[in-house]
This record gives sequence, structure tokens and C-alpha cells, in this order.
Amino acid sequence: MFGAAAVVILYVAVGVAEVLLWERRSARVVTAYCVMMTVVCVLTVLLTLGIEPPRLILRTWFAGLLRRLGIRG
Amino acid sequence: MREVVSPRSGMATLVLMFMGGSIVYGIGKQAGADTWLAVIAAVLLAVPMILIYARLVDLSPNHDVLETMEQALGRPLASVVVIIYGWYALQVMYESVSNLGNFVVVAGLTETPKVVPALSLLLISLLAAKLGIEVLTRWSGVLLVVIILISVSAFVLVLQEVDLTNFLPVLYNGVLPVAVGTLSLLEFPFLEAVIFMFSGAAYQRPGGARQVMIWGHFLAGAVILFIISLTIAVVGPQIYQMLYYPVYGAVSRIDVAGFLTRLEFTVSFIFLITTFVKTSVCLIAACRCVGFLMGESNYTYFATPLALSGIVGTFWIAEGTLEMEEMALQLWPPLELAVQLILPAAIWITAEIRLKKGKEPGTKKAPA
Repeated sequence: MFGAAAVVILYVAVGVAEVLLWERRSARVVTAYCVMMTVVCVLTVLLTLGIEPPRLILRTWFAGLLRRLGIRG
Repeated sequence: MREVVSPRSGMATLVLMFMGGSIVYGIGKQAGADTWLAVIAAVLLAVPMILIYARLVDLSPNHDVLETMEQALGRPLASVVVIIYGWYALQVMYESVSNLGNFVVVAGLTETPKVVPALSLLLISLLAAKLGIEVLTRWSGVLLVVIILISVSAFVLVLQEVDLTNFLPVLYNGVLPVAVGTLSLLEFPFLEAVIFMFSGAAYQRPGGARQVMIWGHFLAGAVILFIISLTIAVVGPQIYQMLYYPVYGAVSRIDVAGFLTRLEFTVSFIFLITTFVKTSVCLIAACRCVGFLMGESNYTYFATPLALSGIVGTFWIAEGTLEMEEMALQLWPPLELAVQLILPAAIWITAEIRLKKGKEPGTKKAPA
């Protein structure tokens, strides 16, 4: 739990500091950067908590999606 | 961002990128004692695709390959292609980082968590990506000389262990294992040069990319052939097929009068350097792809989240050395087949036709 909290604090600090250091900032790029950092942060926190990214769940979800779209492999 | 690199430095980067991972793993081991034949065949068969990659870079001297693709395919289709290449570059980066993590845990620091070497590598790769491909290529130009010197020294020291009968009989199991080994070698490492196309390296002379990529390819092929053949000559084909890291096993046999031993660290050093270069090139390529999608010319803005995604990515991509080795020996999974063969050929043909039409007098200029 302590590790997960440390990861969140570190990611927020790095993210904010880096954006402030940019020469120019556009809303689109900052939004994209924030979204990417958030996704990576959430996944890293899950990893820190011992929950490895659920590959099987994702694979099953994609396979179900493809089947629903009528694409069979 | 246009970053001009010298042909020599570009070549060195490509060679180190090819060597990343491939020299430590027993690549092409399906061919057994004939792996040297498989390496030669793979180097020769990869030439047409390497020429296509180089042509795509050279096609429009004032634009990088992403802009050329946009001109040729239009923005929507180019975006889809860029997403695929961005994901591929990230996937190769995760594989490289995972390889290093597994190597460190298996070969030396068995109690160290895999995330420690992975995080260290990702942080220095992040720094390299922030500094840009120009700095990385200049650094590679220096380090390639060091790595070749180390390889030659290891060759001299291990000479007494070399047994050339390990290569005999030639083609004992027929042509099929060599063919399988060749295809496996094409996929990893030789056609991974497609990622270098997206690194954004520009050259002063027209046709510079062709010179860099083709000579880099041949030089890398020669170095890999030398190292793999030497390993088989030392450890024998059976052990080469059995070990996860046969080159490490071969170098560990160096024993000069009981005084000069335990030189495995040289293999670790080479592996670290080459993996760093490969990871950095992949990270730069992925950043450029994201930058293109966001319409941002300064790709370094995206380097941090993409590099940090590697911490999780290494655990996503494979769960251990066994799975990594299985992946390395796979014959062209669909994504690799698409990004290494089908897409470059299709983009090249389309680009040649559409850009030629755009240059003809009286024709409307291709959309920018």
C-alpha cells in the first residue's frame, strides 16, 4: 500500500514538473500526456499491489469483441 | 524535428540495434550446426526489404518517413499505420527490457527483482530519447568500436576451445531446419530494422538512408555470424540449442593459464550496451509516432509516459525466460508479418505512384 501511494506521488510530481518545464504547451498535447501518464500510473500501481496486468482477461475481451464483429480466426 | 546524423554513426546505431538481444540468445537454433548457413541466408534474403525501408526514408529528402506516409496515404490511413508501428516499436522495447531483466536475474543477480534492471534501463533510455537520435548515434559510433574490440579479444582468448568439427556434417538434417532458422532470423533480428526507419534520422546526402541501412545490415550480419559461429564452434550445436544464453556459456570457458578467467562480464557488458541502444531507438520511434498522431513536432514530450509504460510492459509481454525464448523462436506472428513485410511493401508502392504523380508538371500536389 505504501509502495502504491509512493508511485502515485512520484508520477504526479514527475508529470506536473515535466509539463511546467515544456517550452510551449497546447491543450491537446497536455491532455494526451496526462491521459498517458494516468494510464501508466494506474497500471504501475496495480503492479505494485501485486496485481499483474490481466493479460488473459484482455485477450478474452478482444476475442469476444472480434467474435461479435464477425471476425473469426 | 530534423536530426541530421553522419552515415558512420547511423550505421553503428543500426549494428548495435541488430545485436540487441540477438547475440546473447541462441538465435536461429532451429538450424542446429547449420545456424551459420541460416544467418547467411537471412542476411541475403532481408536485403530487398532493407532496400524498401531505406527507399521510404529517402523518397522525400525534406520530409521524414511519417510525413512521406501522410503524403502518400492521406492523414486517416497514415494515422492507422502509425498506430500499428508505434505499438510495434513499444512491443519490441518491452521485449528488449524484459530480455535484459531475465538475463540479469538468470545469469547473475538471482535475488534481484526483475523490475530493478528494467527500471534502470528504461531511465537511461528515457534520457537518450530526450537527447535525441543525433546524440544516440554519435555515442553508438564510439561504442561500436569498443564492442568489436571486446568480441575480437574474446575470440582470441577462446581460440583454444574452438572445435571446427562442430560444424560437420553440413546439412545433416536437410534443408528444412535451415529454412526454419532463416525465417526465424529474418523476423528477429534482421527485419526489426523497420523501426529504425521511424527514428527520424536524416542524412545530408541524397540516398544516405540506403547507404546506412544496407551497410549497417551487412556489418551487423557479419558480426552476428562471427559471434554465433564462434559460439557453436566452442560449445557445440547440442549445447547451443539447449542453453538460454549460449554466448555467455561459450565465453565462460575462457581460461588462460588459470589466471584470466570469469570473463562473462564482457558478454553482460555487450548485452547491456546493445539492449540500451535498441530500447532507445524503439522508444524514440514510438515517441515520434505518438507525436505524429498528436500533431506535435517535439516528440520528446511523450518520452516519459512511454518509457515508464515499459515497467508494466515487461510484465505484460512475457512471464519469464521460457516464454521469451519461445517468442524469439516464433515464425512471424501476424503483427510482425504485417509491419515487417506487408505494410512497408504496400506503402512503398503507393508512395512511389502517388509522389511521382505529384511531381509531374500540371498535376495537383499531394495533400500535405
